[in-house]
Amino acid sequence: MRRLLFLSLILLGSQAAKAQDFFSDRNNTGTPVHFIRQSDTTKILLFNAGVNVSDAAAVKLNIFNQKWSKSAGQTKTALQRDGKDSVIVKSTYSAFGWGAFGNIKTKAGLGKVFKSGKFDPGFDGGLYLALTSFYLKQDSVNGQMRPPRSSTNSTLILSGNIGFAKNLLYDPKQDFGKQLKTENFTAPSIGLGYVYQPALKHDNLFVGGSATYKRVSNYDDLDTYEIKNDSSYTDNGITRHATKISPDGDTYAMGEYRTYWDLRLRGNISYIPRSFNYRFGFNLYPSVDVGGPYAARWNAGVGFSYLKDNNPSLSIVSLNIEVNDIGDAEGSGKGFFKHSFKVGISTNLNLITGQ
Amino acid sequence: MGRFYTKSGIFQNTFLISLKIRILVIPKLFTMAKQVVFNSNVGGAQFVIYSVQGQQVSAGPSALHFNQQFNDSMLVVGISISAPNGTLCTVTYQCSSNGQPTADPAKPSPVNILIKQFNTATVTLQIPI
Repeated sequence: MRRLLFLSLILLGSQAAKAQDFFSDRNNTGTPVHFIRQSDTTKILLFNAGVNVSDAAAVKLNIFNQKWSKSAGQTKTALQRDGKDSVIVKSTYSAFGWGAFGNIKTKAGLGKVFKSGKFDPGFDGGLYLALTSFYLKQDSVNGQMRPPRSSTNSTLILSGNIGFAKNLLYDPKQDFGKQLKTENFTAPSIGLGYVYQPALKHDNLFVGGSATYKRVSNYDDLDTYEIKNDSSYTDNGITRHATKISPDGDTYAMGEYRTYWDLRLRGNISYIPRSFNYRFGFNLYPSVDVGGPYAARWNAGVGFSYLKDNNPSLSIVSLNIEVNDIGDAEGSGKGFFKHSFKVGISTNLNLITGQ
Repeated sequence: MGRFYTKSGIFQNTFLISLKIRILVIPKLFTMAKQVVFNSNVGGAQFVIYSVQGQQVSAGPSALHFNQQFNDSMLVVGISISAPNGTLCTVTYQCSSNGQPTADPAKPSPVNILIKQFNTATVTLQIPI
């Protein structure tokens, strides 16, 4: 009983945390889950490749594999309805899935990465586990099963990842020879997300929350400069300029560089109306960041997603608009619009085997 | 019914009653059970519940297979599907009765169904056997 109470408190806590990563955010950091079957034996794998442009450009690869339980559980509640023996049958069916992802990003821009192969690289990769349960409610009257009344779904997602970045920093206050430096940054994180899909008459709604504890840096928020070492040589009236390119790239960030542990609590409401034939999703995701040298930073985001046909949970293109650190707890002094307003566009190619 | 020539009307009535009994009652008493083989699969669904003649027979897996005897003249298979609204699911099935292929005349395989309400839909197959 005590164990059950403890488990209930954990689940309530995760719901109260209000957030999830069912749809991606501005940086395309979602953990896509896909629980659909073509048959009991068909292997279904979701391959997801995404390109994201925001503060930094990124390429993401994702895979998700699903495994279904063999049978369903049932509870029956007997009652009398209109003088007939009626039974409410609640069936529960579960599935488990795992996913893996890798994400390469660069502050210098993707074009530069592919052109020269030299960039300020950032890589993160991770694994996630998803446990989902479907609940189907139907009536049995006089021993005859009736069509189900509704179906709901709950999904729990546990994710862990680690990121590596080689952050290039420019500090003009230092001696000339020490102005350019490279900081290696390792960023582990762990997250727990929950998504609930209630049964709406025609539309789809996903409500959830997540808590993510991660090591972060403010590198993406710093201003960037292109720095090259030029040398001039003059001979017989001809001046030649030679530019030495840093082997790590030539885009450097300037400003006060910080790393710290951050706890992000995020809420998420995703709404997919029937009126657009289930092809458009609207996403609202407020969040708060706690940790580091700052006071709590409040954020909010809205997303507009164009969804995959017949799979109303997979995004093909999404536009995300966020206002981050609304109160400027980080003290950037840049003004609200410049400091807080962020836009990201992500496009994803979703391939599903077995379909 | 043809005419029956007898001298006695009583005998004629008795004969007719007897014939009615033969036609209406005897076949029911001695109905031959039919060997029915049924296979089906639902593609695109998350959770499937099958019922046969109103009795739930499977919950969870997307496929159903059975090979058994039925006395009824109609096989009724209910397929309840769970998936988000807007999901297109496809039911494929094959059925034979005493080795003869048969199908629901109103819903030949494959049956496409778009989930539109409360994340669920039901397909009821009525297959003469």
